[in-house]
Amino acid sequence: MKIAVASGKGGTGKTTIAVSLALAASTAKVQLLDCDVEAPNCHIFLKPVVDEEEVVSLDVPAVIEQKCTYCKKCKELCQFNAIAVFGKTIMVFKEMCHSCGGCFLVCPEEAFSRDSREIGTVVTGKGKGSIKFVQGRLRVGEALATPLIKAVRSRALEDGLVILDAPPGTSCPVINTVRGADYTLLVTEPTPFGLHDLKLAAGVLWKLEQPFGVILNRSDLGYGEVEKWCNKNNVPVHLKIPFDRKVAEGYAKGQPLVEIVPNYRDRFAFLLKELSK
Amino acid sequence: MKIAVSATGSGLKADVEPRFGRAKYFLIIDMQSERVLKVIDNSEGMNAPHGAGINAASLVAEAGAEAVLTGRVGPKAFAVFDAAGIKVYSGVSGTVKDALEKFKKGDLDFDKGPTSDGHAGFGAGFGRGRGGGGGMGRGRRGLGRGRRQ
Repeated sequence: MKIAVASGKGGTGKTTIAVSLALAASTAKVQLLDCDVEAPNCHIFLKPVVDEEEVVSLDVPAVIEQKCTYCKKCKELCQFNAIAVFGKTIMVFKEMCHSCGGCFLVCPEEAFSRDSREIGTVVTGKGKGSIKFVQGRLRVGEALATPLIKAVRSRALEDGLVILDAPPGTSCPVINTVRGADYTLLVTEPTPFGLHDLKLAAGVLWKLEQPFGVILNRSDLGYGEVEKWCNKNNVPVHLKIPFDRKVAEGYAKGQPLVEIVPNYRDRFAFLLKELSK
Repeated sequence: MKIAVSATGSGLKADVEPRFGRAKYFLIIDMQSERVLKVIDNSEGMNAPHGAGINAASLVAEAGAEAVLTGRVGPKAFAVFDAAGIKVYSGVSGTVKDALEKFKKGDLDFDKGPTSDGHAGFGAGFGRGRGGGGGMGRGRRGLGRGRRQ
């Protein structure tokens, strides 16, 4: 079973929830995939022992100058302006390339050879309580997160419980994390911003036609509209976590929620049981 | 000598557009006669989600300009100018006519490197505020230091 943890708004508690689920699971096979490759942070709480680090690269073009006739077919095809052609000069900006391979196909002179661009690293290991752990780390300066997220997801177990910690927002990296999950938990907080971005995230899941529910973090902040909206739209609220200074302090020290307040372990275990039905 | 100026309009009275890659027009001007030889309409390129600077610099290079007067140039456009042997004079403002005067008098210095940090890459509409802001920023430089989605 694959459970994705996502949110529209950043900083609502995705990682807290994802780590809690992984630690509360009673299943023998539990895996946590940190798909927030731009700022992965699950390792802070799971403190994994790393087994392997693998560099992920994309194929990008390099020009074979002797063969190029400066016909511009590649430049005209490229939607990302990764190729500049002027006079008898051709330049490839490989950091702009989305690796579609179109320039290789459209070039009548076969004037491209394969080069590569490193986009990041996939780290695998074992965290607390023998949780299998996979993390993507985007290279600083790299713009393309999705191929790295796909590489992280390709390590997902076929069986057992797989928790996917998504990046915030609603664009490609999020979609690539939640797509195909059996269930998605949207973490939000009762604030106008929380509601605004929850609506966006819910819109993504409705569009994907995937089931989802809400976890309300810092649930006693007082803005009641979030729950009203959930009720009105038949979105289940699975869990409410009131604000607790102890949790915030522990979080800042890298302690998982279920260790700071142990009775949350049962609540998350119960939630997992509920979701597996 | 032919020079290119990024401009908000198609004549000498137009203002110099401060952003090179996202300028609406590039005026190719003959310095001898001070006449506009060619107006490059960049209205398509200026809205490109990716690599506007690369594309714009290629257009200017193709037009045979030997120097370019503009506000700011990013690293990728600068690389194109460098490869094309075009000198870049940035930090230029006022009307195109004023800019030409300054250039003629030798009041402008050319750049040895880009004058704007790059912001090409992932498409528009991917900004995101962390914590306070709601994740709906537009463009990469939208909401403070928010991570992109």
